Amino acid sequence: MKCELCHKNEAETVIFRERPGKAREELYVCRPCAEREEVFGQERGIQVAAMEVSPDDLPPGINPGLPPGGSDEGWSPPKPPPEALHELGKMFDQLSSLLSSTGGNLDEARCPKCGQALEEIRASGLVGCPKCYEVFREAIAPLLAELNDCTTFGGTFGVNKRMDGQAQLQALKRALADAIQREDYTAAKQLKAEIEALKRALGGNEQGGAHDA
Amino acid sequence: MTLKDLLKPTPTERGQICLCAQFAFVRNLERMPFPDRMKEADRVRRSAQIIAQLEHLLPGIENLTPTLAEAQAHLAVMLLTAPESRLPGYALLYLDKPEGVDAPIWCEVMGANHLTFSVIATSQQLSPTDYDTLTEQLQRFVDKLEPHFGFARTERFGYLTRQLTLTGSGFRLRVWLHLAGLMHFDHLRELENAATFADLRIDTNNDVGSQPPPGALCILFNGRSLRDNAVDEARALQRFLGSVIRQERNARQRLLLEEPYVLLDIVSRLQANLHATLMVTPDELCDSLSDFYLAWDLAAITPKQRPRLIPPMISALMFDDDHLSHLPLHRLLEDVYLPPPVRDFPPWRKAATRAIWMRTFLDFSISRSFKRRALQ
Repeated sequence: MKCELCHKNEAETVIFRERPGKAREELYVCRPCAEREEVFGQERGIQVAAMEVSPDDLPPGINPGLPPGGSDEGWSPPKPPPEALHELGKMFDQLSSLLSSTGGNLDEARCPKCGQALEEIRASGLVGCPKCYEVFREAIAPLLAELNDCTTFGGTFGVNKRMDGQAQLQALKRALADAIQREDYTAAKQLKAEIEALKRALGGNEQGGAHDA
Repeated sequence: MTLKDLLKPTPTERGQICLCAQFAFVRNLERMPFPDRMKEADRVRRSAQIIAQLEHLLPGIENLTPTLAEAQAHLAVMLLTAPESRLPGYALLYLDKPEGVDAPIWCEVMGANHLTFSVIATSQQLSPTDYDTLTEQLQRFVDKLEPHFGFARTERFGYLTRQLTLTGSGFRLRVWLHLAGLMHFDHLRELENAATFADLRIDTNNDVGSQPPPGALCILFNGRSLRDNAVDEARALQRFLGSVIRQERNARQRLLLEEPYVLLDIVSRLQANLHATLMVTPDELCDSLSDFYLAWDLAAITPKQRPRLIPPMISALMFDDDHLSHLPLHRLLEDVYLPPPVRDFPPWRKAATRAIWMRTFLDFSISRSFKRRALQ
């Protein structure tokens, strides 16, 4: 697992960081980052708790999910919510189908569209085609989590996906009518130009084009 | 807009900390492998189709691909896909300030991804306080093209890109910073920590803490593209950048006021180098340029060349002999000033040409008032 601060070195230890006004957070980091946070964190008003040993250093039988400084008496790990279990089930289904297609070696799994191997994606951070995101989605999600601290796109899309020609024309005409009603003549002029261009394109191609593979 | 217009030298200003910024939106088409996984014939064919569609949708767009070798001397082209990474089918198109966008757009087809729309602006062309506005304009421009192309995207992962680091918004904002003051006081490591804390990244082209970056040049960029919209990422970077610029200015003033003798030593060494050095490595050239611009900003020196001849620092820092070798001045420098043994041996020729170039453009005199104050 990569350090959650520098994303370059392997995580060797865990620190607990409290920022003013925010909840205490647990971070798996490399030793240089841990030391840096301890020294410079104070200048930013951040309290860094004493470094804990890495989970791998814990002796067998000790629960690595223990709350810091706590004992395991009378404590049990929190139960995951139902939706998390559902996602976990989907992940296992996808992984097992990939495993069965590769004789048990997940890293040898290849995208049926471009032939990119999962192992290559892990090593290089480069994907072969949009289909790879679908085929390897449960394996790619943790890679994205390392980079972004999340696995789902939190932004928004500006427009709808590609529409067929006629539907697009209707949408543009509605947008034009709306712009005229708002007296936004600059936008109306642009929309009019787009409508003319689309009419010319549709006039030259009867299908009005869904994009071919 | 002709290629000659594009390559016209622009005047530079003193005191620039943000040298330039690159805004890039990356998009890919559905149901098609990314360029490096396509068969060459498919890639070339698809590239021609995409170019035809862009020319149809964007009247006024110019295809610079036939003149790429000459266009390479332009700063923007230097920052786009490197020549050795361009696959057959690669094309570069230029659109001069389309409606709704306050800057020219460079469109790469079949670079690392199917489509990359970039704006590259120096600090003279675009203030850092306007980064979010330009991001919004560029995003609107790219969004308008989406119904015509059909960009590969999913609800879960956003826009799909070849690089996992771009998946999501498909947006990358990179800012080149000249941080000579912070480097002098050894604060670059702190800056890297602070950037990581703000979910940004700093690339120093070097390991911070070991050797200082050549030319005190750092690249600040948004490290995450999955969590937020592009405009939000631009705003976050903009806020952080404001703080960096303030700290850099403070560091420079501190150098001038508290350590004038040290600054005098820097400019004296620079002057001695300019007059004595016959061969210069790229890193040495970067460091000389950095000292020159720092001293010029602090009014410790006066350049002897008229300001318009001094190239913008960013393109000078990316001085590349191979890309500039077609320019008449460059050939003149080589033919007139270099003895045959040097001219005929490429490593020596490059190193010697850099030294001549440096002497030509960076000659200066030390300010008398500054010298007097430093020696008091």
